[in-house]
Amino acid sequence: MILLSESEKQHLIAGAESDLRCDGRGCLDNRPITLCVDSVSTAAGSSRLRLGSSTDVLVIIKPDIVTPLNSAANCGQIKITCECSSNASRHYESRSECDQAMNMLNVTLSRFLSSNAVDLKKLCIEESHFCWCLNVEVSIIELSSGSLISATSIALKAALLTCNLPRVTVVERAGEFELNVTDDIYDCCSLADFAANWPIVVSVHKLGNAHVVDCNLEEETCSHSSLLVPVTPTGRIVGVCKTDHQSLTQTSLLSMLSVGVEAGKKLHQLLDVILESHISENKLLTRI
Amino acid sequence: MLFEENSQLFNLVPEDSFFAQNDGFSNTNKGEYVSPGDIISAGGMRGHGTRPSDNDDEKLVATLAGHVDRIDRLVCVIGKHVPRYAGAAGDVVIGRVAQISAKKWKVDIGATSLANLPLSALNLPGGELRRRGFDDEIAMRAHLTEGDILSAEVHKVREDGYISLHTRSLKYGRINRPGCVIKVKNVKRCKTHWHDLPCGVSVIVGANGWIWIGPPISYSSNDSSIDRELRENMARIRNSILALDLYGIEIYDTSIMVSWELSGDFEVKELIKPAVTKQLASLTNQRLKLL
Repeated sequence: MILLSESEKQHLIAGAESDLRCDGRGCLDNRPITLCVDSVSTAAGSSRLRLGSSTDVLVIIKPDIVTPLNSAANCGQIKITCECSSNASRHYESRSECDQAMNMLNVTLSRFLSSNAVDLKKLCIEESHFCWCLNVEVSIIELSSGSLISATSIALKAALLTCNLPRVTVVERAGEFELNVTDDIYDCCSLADFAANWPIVVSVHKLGNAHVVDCNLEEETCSHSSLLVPVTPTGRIVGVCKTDHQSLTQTSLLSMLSVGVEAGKKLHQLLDVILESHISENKLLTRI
Repeated sequence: MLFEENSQLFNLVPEDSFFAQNDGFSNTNKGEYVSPGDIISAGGMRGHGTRPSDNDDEKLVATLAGHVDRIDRLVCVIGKHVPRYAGAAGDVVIGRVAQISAKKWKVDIGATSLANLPLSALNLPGGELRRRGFDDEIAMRAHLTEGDILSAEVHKVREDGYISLHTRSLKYGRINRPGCVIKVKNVKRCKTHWHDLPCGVSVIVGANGWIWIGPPISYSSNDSSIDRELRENMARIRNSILALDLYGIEIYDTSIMVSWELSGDFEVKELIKPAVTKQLASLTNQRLKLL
């Protein structure tokens, strides 16, 4: 949290309540996002996202083939690890604030892995024997423009939509299963179908009486309370996380959830539009 | 309408343009790009960013990363990286109080270390002139507390970077009006730093690159709401200044006014999109060259 004077806070809150924030956006408007996918050649899928002038997140997906867990023999696995670069922000003076941001990220991203929005059965290769384990590495390069978790979830979805896994075939020989991974680097399967329903997290802040989406660091500092709302493309809420110790009335809570759902659906549409050409280039690839 | 159809909210870019630095419009005739240790091709008089080579006295070696600038026989290296504010006596700066310590406030002005504002250098309300006693020391938070924005003048700068400020004039001191502070890199030094722009917005351009944007002095704290038009103009000025700064155009009252006028073709919230920012900066640059 950064230092702000009382007059600045007053200005930010009054702006949010009159639907005209510091940079002219309304309460439901997002900042422009610059996205770059498939830039890391050593990973199956990658995306780098820049939001505002200084929130920068890199997501890398590296697949692995493992034995499925006994409790979920027909499901694949996804493991998400987050790491924060040491010069991510000059505002965070102590390491603990960065750790807090990372914990929140871990919790939110892992939370919806156990939901219905993500179908891990699609990652199974052979029940009880082989399944894909996607190792997702999130690197926070900079976080001075706020909205970190939202940016990370968009980057994660973009990386998954453009991720290509090598084709594997299972051969049964005398009761034993053998795995053949193709040698051709262009022979791969796309994860676009698997990731189509992946949720995007929207963070909704309460500034005075207004409910605001996509806040920068100043607005996050003077917000009363905030909710993290992961939303699927169809508008279903996957889970809700409240990140602070302030109270919210029931009306506020419901209103913030509906704001989050609207904003989430819009983000999904925008992401699909720009990645459409990228995904359709891979339409010759089979989908998992 | 100057607005381009394809300035979308989400932009997918190829890898090389993600990292591309925009070169700005105000740089002309840049020489070759060098990094520290590179031998600059032709010798000459050594300027900023160069030193004579150890092996060969004729040759010059770059000490900065940037472009070579040659003026007659003077060879300089202009670094891309804008250094932190160094401070100069007499500069008007905008700062934020970071800490309160014994008989002084530590103010963040974007320099290498926090600047000091001693208790004795603060203007007391009512213009009193007296020695500051123990009671004043206890009541420091009543004047300035952590997080407060203030305008001050740099009193002196020591060689080790220690900057001390003073607010010994009625125009300096804590800024009580609601507004916002933005940080830019290129500020042109002008005779005056306080500008009441014709659009009704008041701007204080600090020499340290911090700019305060808010309502004019005639706004009183009883009138608790800033009307919509003023708020929109403040947002417009803010976005225009950030657009100019992104492309290396110097910020001063004329450039702010010119970019405000030219931004009238766009909606305020469009001004944060990269394509619109570029267009606005380019138009402003062309207009400023004509002036």
